[in-house]
Amino acid sequence: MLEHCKWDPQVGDRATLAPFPVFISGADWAHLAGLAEKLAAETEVAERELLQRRTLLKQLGLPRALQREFARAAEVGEPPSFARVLRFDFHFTREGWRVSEVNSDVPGGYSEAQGFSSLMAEYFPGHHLTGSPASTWAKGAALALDPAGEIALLSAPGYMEDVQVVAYLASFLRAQGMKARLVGPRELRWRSGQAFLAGAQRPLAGVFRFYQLEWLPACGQPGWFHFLHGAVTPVSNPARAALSESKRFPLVWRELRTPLTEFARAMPESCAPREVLGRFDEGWVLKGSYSNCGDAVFSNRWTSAGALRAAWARALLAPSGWVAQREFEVAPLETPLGTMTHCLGVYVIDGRAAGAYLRLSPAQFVDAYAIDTALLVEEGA
Amino acid sequence: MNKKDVFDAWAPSGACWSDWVKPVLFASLPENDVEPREAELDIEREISPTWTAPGVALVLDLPGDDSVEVGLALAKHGIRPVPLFNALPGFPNSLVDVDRIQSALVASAQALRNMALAADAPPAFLLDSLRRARRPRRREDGPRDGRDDYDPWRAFRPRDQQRWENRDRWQERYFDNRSVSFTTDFPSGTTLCARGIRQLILVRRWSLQVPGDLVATLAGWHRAGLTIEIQDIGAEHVSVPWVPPRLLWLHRLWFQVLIPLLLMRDRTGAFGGYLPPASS
Repeated sequence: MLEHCKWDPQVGDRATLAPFPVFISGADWAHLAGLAEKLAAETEVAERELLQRRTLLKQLGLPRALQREFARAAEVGEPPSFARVLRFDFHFTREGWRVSEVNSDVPGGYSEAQGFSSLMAEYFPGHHLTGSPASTWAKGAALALDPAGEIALLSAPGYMEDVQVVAYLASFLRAQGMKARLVGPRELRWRSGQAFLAGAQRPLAGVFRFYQLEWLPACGQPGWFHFLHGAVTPVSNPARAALSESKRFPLVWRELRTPLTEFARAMPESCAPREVLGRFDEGWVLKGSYSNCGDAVFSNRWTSAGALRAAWARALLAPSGWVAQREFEVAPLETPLGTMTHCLGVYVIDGRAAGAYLRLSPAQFVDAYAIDTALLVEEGA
Repeated sequence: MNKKDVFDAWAPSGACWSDWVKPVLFASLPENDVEPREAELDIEREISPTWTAPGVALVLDLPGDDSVEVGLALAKHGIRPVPLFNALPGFPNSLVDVDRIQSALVASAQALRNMALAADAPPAFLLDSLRRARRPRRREDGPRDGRDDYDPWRAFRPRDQQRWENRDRWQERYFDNRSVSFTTDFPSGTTLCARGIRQLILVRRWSLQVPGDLVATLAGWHRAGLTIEIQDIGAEHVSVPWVPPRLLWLHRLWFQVLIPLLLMRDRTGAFGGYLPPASS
């Protein structure tokens, strides 16, 4: 907790760190890692095409200000980026591994996947980590950026769970010999396309954005659009990550020229909510386009009738903010804490799988109250 | 002491409330040779006999390090102080003075460790009542009454008083590190009841009002069967029983709207931001 920036180990009555690891065979991990890398490659190509297809941007549920600035980015070009990171949420089902979504814009969980998992691995000889996403990301940043420069790690002040992520990554940047500074959006200034800290004379070497892109237009900070275009300071992740972050991303697949064969195979069917209005009880989930940690995921199975009605009212009033996704049955996991449902997040950094961790929940889906669990690979299996 | 020793003093392994201790203020301490910067603790506080009665848990909602001092005084009576400070340390010119709280936690760690409290000692949850300190009023508004903790400017307790008083000339900006307390920061009513707690006393100074962010927490405990009382230690321990407001759902809704409005303006819901200099 103190060394690995895990500041929310208890949520209500629930400890959010599992006192046991989950093992995966080497073959299964290799399969998942390979699948995640293919999905990441498809994501990158699809994002680049989407950037050029203005009409499709409207379908993703992006705020209007962002649509406007993305259109401009398509004309003048994006800022340089470094150390691209994605996290795919896998679930084991009777039909094999399925992907529910890609955390493409601001994936977190580095401390759980690396710090917590490595502490757990010390007690289980014959097992090793799936990877070290924080170290991999920091090495990628050190390779791509001016080593003498300073990197700003941007997050929303007050959100403890976000600040702990950037504090953790900053420690790895410092281990690489770089200067790292935690900032809020109001401490960033843009001059001639270069990012500066308020009051600083020297431009930043790079900006790590742990601040959801859809929040930027509302933060009121002049120059926020530089994250999308017109900047020379490298940023991570690139703004176009918000295109695949949208839960409505699958709705535009059939109109893309990019073949998304792995996505089509691994992800359940998705459609606009109004298409399932009369048959929602046939196994659908209603999701907010830019929901986080399950904060806007509704189903007949776990949502009260009143809350479901309210969610449907919102979905019908603002259809571009919602998507319906076919529900799938996740294989239950027997654990020392009882039967759990799970979500296995696999990181891909600069195209290569870089680690994973598991979130468990005794409820029917994995939300912000999930129990973070170390995932260790069985050696020789 | 190193920072782990300090944390272990406040959240010892095996103590039944340790899981709820918020680690953020401990995590930002220096790795080794942790020393308090300026804390002189007054732990000879007057303790109400009702606080130490069997089956009683406390929430100390007091300003800054005052909460730590009263918590430590209670520890002498066998009650386990549980720090729930959520504000972010480490930013220059912070609006909420977390450093004083942090220093008090460090200064009292050894004393707390020496007390060797029972693993199942009843809890006193420590909060900073200035966590949501209101946005400063303009100076021409003047003080509204004579209470010394009512002036919101003073409530911020800046370390450098002179610099603070000349903030207009310096065009000084202060980092808004205010925070709110969530229901999930505490054990549920079911857990409290299962561990023998029957009554909850919210301790405040110069106020018998329940802060907005604590209403849902207290209401949950009340639903679980706990009796709730509020005590004002600024007014000779005047106490009143508390029941949830009849329009609790309206209160929740109102509070959800108010959080982003009262905490530094940010339409994203983020709490942070720099305050502009005061108007003169």
